[in-house]
Amino acid sequence: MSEATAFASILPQAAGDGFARIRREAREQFLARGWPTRRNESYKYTDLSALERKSWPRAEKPAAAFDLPDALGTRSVWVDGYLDEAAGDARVTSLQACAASPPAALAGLLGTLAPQDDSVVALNTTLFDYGAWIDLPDDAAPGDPLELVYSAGDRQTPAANHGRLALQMGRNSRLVLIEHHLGGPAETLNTRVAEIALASGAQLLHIRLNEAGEGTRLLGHTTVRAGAGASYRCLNLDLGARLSREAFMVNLVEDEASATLSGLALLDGKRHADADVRVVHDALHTRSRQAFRGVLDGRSRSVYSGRVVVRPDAQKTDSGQESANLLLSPRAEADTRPQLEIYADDVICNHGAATGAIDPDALFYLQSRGIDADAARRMIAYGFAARVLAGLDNADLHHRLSTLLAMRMQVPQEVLEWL
Amino acid sequence: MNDTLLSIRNLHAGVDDKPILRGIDFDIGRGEVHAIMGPNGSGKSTLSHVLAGRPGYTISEGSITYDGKDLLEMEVEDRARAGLFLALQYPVEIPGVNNVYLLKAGLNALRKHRGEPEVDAYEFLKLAREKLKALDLDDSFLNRGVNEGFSGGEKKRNEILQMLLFEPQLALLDETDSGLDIDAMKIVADGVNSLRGAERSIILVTHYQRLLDYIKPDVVHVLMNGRFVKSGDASLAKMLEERGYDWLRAEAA
Repeated sequence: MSEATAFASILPQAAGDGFARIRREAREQFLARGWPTRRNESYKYTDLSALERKSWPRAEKPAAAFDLPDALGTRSVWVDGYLDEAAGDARVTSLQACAASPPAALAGLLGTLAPQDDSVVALNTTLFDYGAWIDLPDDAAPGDPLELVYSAGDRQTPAANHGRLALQMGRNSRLVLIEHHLGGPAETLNTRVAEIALASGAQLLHIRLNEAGEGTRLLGHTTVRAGAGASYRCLNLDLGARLSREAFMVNLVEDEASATLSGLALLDGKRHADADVRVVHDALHTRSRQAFRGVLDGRSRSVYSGRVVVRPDAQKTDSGQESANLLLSPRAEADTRPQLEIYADDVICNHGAATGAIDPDALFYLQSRGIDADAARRMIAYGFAARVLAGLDNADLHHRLSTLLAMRMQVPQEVLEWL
Repeated sequence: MNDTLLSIRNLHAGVDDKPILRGIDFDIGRGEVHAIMGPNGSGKSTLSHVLAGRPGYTISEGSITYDGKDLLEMEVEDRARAGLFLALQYPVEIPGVNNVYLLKAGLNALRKHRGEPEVDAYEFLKLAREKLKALDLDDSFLNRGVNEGFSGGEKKRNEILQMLLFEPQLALLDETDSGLDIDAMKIVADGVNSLRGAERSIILVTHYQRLLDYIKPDVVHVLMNGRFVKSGDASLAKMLEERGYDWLRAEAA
């Protein structure tokens, strides 16, 4: 029996809602492809075979709401895929609520941007049963960030949940969107597919904050379509989960669209985080930047694949990629793969990568000022990690995320109080 | 009370198998200012680094006694807490680590060691601003990454800023004058002079005599080929300025 047919026995029939047709097609796709294996080039460093051997039923409704940290904005909370109305303070349109007869705008977006031939997308399309539909009108600019919390429930048995995000931003609209993964140690599989369409001049700051528990596997896929002069900025922070893989496919389809993606994998133990980025320049004067960092302890591993594709018509493209990793342990590993595919001739494409341990000169320098070696190491590592927040111009979020990193890295008090 | 703060006996040190210091004997008393001069490659920086405990040097022979303790047995941070401060010739850039973290964490580590109460953010800022002003530095200096993107002169002044805040017992300045224009050197010299006192000793390691026009040493030593070959008063520095080092090379041979 092949891997795919083995899984077919536990892949339920797709729901008969307003997305029935795309669900059926996605199910066929998944059954044909199965879980991605390491023979698939973009999953080369992320082994999903352990997932396949387990069955992942949907969770029963959790008994109690999870203990959540302070909200980072207007918040909606799902626990094991169930909307927790008590924990949220305002609500986006729940996909569940409109799945029976989706509005035309949603039907025109969901399932049209994400690549159908990706196994994670196919699985999610088949099974998603919660998430948000956000349709932001032209010129709208909500003052507060929107925070979507995906939390694992407090339970003993393994469970899966499959969430979806559909975001459409009107012309010149602006939004700060935070997707926040949280939860305790329970064995959890979360798939999440986001489809984001930015009309001309729209500006999105998208923060993916992974603080999931150590039993959680996150498999995500984000596709962005950016129109003329639109700006997609993404901050991908992997601080948790047993395994996390997020693919970003950003298509700059009209002139002067831009994308800036920064990421940090702050890992210890046997955690694994994979950021798979693909930016396609498909119009004039488009610009992209990728800057990914890892601070890796224990036997953890980070993977960053950054691909830039410059299509023949995308003259005057300006793209840059850099990755840097700090290894705090000799058993930690960082895999970095910058890739360029350029089919236009008048372009600027830079890339650079560096991986190393803590600079002994920097360590000596701090020690020679009376700071003990352990505190000095933490300060240096924090300075390295916090660099990914440098471009974050929302002062409140900058402060809160800096503090989160600093607490996580157990920096000395002198650093904490100055953030 | 022992008036000698630092005492070095027959110190041999090098990098890998290459000997650099070949039998150093040196004493400095409390409240004294000594200058160590010498041509390039004579071992001046090695001596400074060995005193501060920088990794990478092998000490094959000899002893260093600091304030009655065996300095070579002490960790780098313990030397600093015991009041030894090295102003580096090439201060290290630490991207993303704000200057203020280093200054405040360093100051409080020293104060804790001395049994003094730690300073809070308000007291620290007040103190730091006073020292910044003395060095003609802007307050924004505190929130920049440690030496990150600093000019050569800014790096040197940052070293002096740390020294003024930490008020060390033994300040060791390794070629702090190199790369400074005359105005910057005067500011640095004023900073060093403001620290002079009966309880504090200062060692100026320098290639040129001109810093000594602004900070007058009690004793001048000449280091050549890993050994001290001559000591004298401030007039020795003048003589080196006029005659160079060659006559000593002949004398030492």
